[in-house]
Amino acid sequence: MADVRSKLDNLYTLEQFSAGSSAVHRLHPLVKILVTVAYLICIVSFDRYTVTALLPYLLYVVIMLGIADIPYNVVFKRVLIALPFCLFIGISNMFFDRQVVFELFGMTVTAGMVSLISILLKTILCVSVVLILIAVTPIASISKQLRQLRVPEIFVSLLEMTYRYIGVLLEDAIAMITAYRLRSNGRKWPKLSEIGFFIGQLLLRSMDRAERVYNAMKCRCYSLQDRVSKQIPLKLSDWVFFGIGLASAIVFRFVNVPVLLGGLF
Amino acid sequence: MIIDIKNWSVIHTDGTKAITNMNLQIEAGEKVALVGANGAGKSSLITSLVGIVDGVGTCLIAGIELKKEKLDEIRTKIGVVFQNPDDQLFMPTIYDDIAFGPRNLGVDEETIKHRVEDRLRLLEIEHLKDKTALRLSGGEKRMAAMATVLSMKPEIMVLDEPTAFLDPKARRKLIRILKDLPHTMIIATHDLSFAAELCSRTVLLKQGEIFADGKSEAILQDDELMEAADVESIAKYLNYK
Repeated sequence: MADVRSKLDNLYTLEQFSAGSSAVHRLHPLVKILVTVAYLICIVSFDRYTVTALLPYLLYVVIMLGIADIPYNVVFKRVLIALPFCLFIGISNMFFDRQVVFELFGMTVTAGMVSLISILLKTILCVSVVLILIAVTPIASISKQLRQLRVPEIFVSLLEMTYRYIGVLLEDAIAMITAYRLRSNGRKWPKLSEIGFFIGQLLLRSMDRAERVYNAMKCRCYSLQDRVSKQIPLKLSDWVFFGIGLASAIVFRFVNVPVLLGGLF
Repeated sequence: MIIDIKNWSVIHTDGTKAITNMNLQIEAGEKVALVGANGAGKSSLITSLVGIVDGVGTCLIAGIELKKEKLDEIRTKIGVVFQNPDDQLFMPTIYDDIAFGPRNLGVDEETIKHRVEDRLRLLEIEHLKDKTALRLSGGEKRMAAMATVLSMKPEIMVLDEPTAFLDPKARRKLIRILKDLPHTMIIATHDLSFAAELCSRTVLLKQGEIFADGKSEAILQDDELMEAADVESIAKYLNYK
């Protein structure tokens, strides 16, 4: 059962890094959120054949992880989870978009191949940027800032509770898998024919729990009202980070830095 | 009298009668154990007191009549600690969980901070302040769940099976802390030695009605009475334990 249990333990590993005290950790959560959003918008705004212009954005990932003292593999492993989904989309481009763009070492490179690399790169960058935000900012601070930014309360509450209850739901799933394995005569996972019942049970359990949680919330006078708390003022270091972060995101968007550097030599 | 229930009935949506014409009066500061077999109506009584399930009859909580429009006011007077602390701890950190109730009441952040720290100290769980509930032990979760209720400054505390998920050490700590709290308490429990140690009064329920009501030592040790209510007496309970 250790493999399933370790997956649950891994779930909150990233957030545990957010308790660090590096310069990046100490930054105001608002500027980290805004720079992350700026990076995401700039990255996804490139057309599907852009590859070289995306590369400078890797600098942000490398520098942030370096300053925050977060092991690269912690983020990289999680990025890998997202890759199969975009790989599937990207591979289909290879079949439909066969226009030859250039030849490399005698091999024909099609527009589909370029777009596949572009999609992969964009995914790696977007997921990394978001994971870095989570790794350097406690989830409570993120949700607090989202409220400050007037994001509707229902979305923020949903984010908080989803985050909290992924773990609880997994605990339930682990308990069910454990019970299954103890009676399955050596089989580790439910058969295809049993998966439906398994997921159905999990759904019922989660609905039941949702009802109980909502009751507990009502008992503490919960209503879906905006709960905006006092804003902490920004320091000089926050403004500097915000300025550099925003400027770099915009510059990388409009200036193809690798091509520019290549032209110098 | 802080709780005054007259002709109180609770009928579930499927038509099952959970509580039938109950009359119960509790004085301020009393610690009352609700004891009964499964399905006797303990949880139904508790949940009806805070309006989670509807009841019919008259119910006065701290002088306020239990009505839909008064629920928010009543829920500031009566705090419920549910059986499973996971149902009560849903925010990213324990601090936020404890602050959740006061924030809903519009208390300012500075007061909330002091109140949260005070409750953490009272329950000896200061070290859990910034932790997520997922990684806590059963005892720690129970204390955190109690802190979430105490931060609302209730006059009455209702605890549903408070010793569930607790090891003996955590159970002893819980008894010590509950004994020191001045609140009126209603404790639904199957743990008879816990009830005997903490509560001066026991209300024995059977099939949604009060079967016996009196001093804990008298009721819990009365073999005949307890067995008639489908509950084992404390002597038998401790023997099996």
